[in-house]
Amino acid sequence: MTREPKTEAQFMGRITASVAHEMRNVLAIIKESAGLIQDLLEISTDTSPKTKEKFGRTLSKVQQQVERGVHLATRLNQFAHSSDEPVTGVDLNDTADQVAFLAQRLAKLKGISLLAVPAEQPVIITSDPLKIQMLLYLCIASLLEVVGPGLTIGIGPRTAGDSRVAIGFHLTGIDETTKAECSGPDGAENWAALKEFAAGLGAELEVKALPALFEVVFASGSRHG
Amino acid sequence: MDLKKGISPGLDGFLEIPEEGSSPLRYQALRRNITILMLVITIIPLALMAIINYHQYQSALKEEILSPLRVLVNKTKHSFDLFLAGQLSTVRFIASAYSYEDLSDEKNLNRIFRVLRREFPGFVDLGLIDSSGLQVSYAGPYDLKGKNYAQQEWFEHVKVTDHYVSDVFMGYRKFPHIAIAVRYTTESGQNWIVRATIDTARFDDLIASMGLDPNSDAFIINREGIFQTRSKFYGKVLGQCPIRVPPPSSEPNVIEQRDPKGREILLAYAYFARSDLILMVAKPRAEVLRAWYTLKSELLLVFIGSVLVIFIVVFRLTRALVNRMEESDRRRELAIREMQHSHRLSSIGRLAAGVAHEINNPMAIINEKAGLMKDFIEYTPNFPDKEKFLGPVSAIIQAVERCRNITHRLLGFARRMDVEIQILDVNEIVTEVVGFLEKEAMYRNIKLGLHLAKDLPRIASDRGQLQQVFLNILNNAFAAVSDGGTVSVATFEKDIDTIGLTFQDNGHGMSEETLKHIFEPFFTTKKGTGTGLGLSITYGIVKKLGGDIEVHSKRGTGTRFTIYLPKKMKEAAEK
Amino acid sequence: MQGWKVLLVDDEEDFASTLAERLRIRGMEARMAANGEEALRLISDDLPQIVILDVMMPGMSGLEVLKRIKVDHPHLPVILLTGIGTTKEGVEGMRLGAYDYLMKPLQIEGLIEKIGAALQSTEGEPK
Repeated sequence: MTREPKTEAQFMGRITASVAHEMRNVLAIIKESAGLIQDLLEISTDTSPKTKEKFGRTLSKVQQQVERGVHLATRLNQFAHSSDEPVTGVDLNDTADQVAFLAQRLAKLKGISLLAVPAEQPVIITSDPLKIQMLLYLCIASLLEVVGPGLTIGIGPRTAGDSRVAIGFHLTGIDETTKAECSGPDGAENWAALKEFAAGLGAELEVKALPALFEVVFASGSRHG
Repeated sequence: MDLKKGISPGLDGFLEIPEEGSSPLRYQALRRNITILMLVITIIPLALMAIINYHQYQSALKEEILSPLRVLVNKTKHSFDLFLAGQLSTVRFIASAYSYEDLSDEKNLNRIFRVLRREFPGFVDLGLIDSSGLQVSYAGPYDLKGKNYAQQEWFEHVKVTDHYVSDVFMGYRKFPHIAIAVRYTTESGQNWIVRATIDTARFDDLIASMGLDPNSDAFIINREGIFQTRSKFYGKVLGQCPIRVPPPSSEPNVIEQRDPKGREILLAYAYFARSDLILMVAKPRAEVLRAWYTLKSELLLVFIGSVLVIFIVVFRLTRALVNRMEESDRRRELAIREMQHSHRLSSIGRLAAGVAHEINNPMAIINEKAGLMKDFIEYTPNFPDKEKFLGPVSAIIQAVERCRNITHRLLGFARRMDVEIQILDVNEIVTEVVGFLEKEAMYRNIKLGLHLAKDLPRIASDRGQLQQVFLNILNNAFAAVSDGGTVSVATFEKDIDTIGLTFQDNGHGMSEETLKHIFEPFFTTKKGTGTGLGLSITYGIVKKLGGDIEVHSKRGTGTRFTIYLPKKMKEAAEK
Repeated sequence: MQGWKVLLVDDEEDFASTLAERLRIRGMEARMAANGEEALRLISDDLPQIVILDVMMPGMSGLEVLKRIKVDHPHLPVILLTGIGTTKEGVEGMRLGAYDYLMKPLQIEGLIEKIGAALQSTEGEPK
């Protein structure tokens, strides 16, 4: 081991990274096997074109899913490495993207889409990457309680004034009718716990008016939790 | 307002509330600062008040005490003055009311004297002295007729002024008396002196009438400091008064002095109006000021008592308050950390689960696709090169199965990270787990040795996870030994906070190289079987339970795993 | 296995269609529904003999669909398909009346066995 994990988070990260790595191996095997089948089909003279076509379709689907799997494994690996350093420079654009991915399943169950809206410039904060992700994840979990289905939540990092950074959550593509479906974010059940967690990371939550929902504002020179 | 602004920031800094997660030193400093501030705020006004009171009382009390003394002396002095004035008037009356012939007749003089004595018992004798100083007639107990006073000082004095009151003197009689002489001059220029002697009994009476306490002394002295009346403590009549004659003053006065005996006294004195006598009253200062001393000591006692009480209260209160603050800060921090902790774990678990599940979906699809291909190959009659195709197709299916196992393990692992603490007996768990393996041991003829410490202290830990750990290690040990080998477990108390277990086998052991990677996930020497997660999970669990795990091994000799577990679960502090 | 009428309910099209094809190869009649509403519609249009139902679906969840099915068709056997992290839902489903649950990725032989057992247990019962 290059460096033994010191915290549980690091340990989980290590294990998860290993799992992600293993998955990619598996996917690689599948990919190769599929490729082999394709090759065998091609060189085979006895199989009918219909069969070849059918197999071809099937195999391309397999490839599609392999790609999907690889993509997921990559993301899982990315996530796993969030816990490598307890403090480091974190680009909130990346974090927004990551959390949009991590929480997409959760959101999809509620019929809500997540969209990461990166800023033009990197939005850097020095903090615990895992905790920041967790904070955003908790924010989204909280929002999913109050936002009605069919809507899209945008996650937009930005730099605020005097070296502060913020991440805003807003609804995209809403009109008058959808307003009624969205109650205030501070009505969510875990709002208080969310605020507490945010405070631990030196961040405050500011509720905004629709179509914005709320913003997580990190104090300047923000500390890690 | 400006003052407030000036003080506030400074005060705020002084009373800075420690930030969360501060070291105990910050709270100590806060305690100290609050204590100091409170003590200053309470004690300084108290002291100020005490000092002011002290001085106020001192002057007021002194006045209170000294005033009556002064009044008494004044009153007595007036009495004396009145008395002497009265006596003088009486003699003057005799001198002027009677003619020279009346007075020089001794029988007459005696009569007058008798009447005089009846009215004024203090008179001792009465005499007529002519202008040349010759005692012409005399009424009284002594034989003074024919005595000539021309040389005497008082005679000279009377010639100038018309009256004379003498100091106390002894003269022939050897007891104190004073003489009053009055010169009367007729219109025709004839003059004579009537002289009377008065005993000082009245003096003593007057002094006695002052009603002084036994420790005080009142007496009369003349300007030279000669006692005119008896002094209780300082000397006899006509002796020299050891106390210095006080400066003349028209008003009665009180001064503080030290008497010849060394006592501190208050000397109240008053100069008589009509003569050169001084009334002196010596009161021991301690006596007079006893009330003041009592008050003073009472004041001091109250002050010291109050200060002590203040100290105690301030210390206790501050300590209690700051302790509460510290406690609640700490608890809040702990609660936050706990919440973050459990949040984190469940979040990580959930996130990992979520992603793993997501991977599951494409895997399921691939699985079906591969299965479909397999079906197709198998159901189609005369499928060319069946076997060749089935190879990779099966490979795909197997790969999917492997992935499923891995994600399954990951999730189970994430879930298992939640710990349930109980007080338990490690020996019990070891015995239990060994029991699982008894059959295999018997079957393979493996000797199981248990050396469990008697009275091993119970520890707080998670039963399920310990079982897992022990089982995992024992499984490895069983895998390492050949039939007939030995696996032994020992438990012991390492130190006051920790217990330990060793799992020893005499199996094939591990190389240095293997040892380096032993706790890595997916590292396995078992070909084909096992996911290689076992020992890494074991490591994780032991660390999670606050313990440590070590391994020693020698190729060909055997392996020993040593596990240390804390008796009390310490918060695995997360940074 | 011949002629068994199976309804597959799963939002993942690639999965459902492939599985359906595999069932057809084995002689079953397999229809597909992509969500709960469609499933209920298809059930009321043409009652299947058994429903294979995925628990993890957006919108109406698998368990909700199960409940609805059991209301209208208490004797229609349902086999649930769970994922790695949703075995809990499988157990819950059985309490709600599902015949059994299986974890994805599947062993098709296992599925077919379960289908056979489920159909046998409901044979003779009113449809």
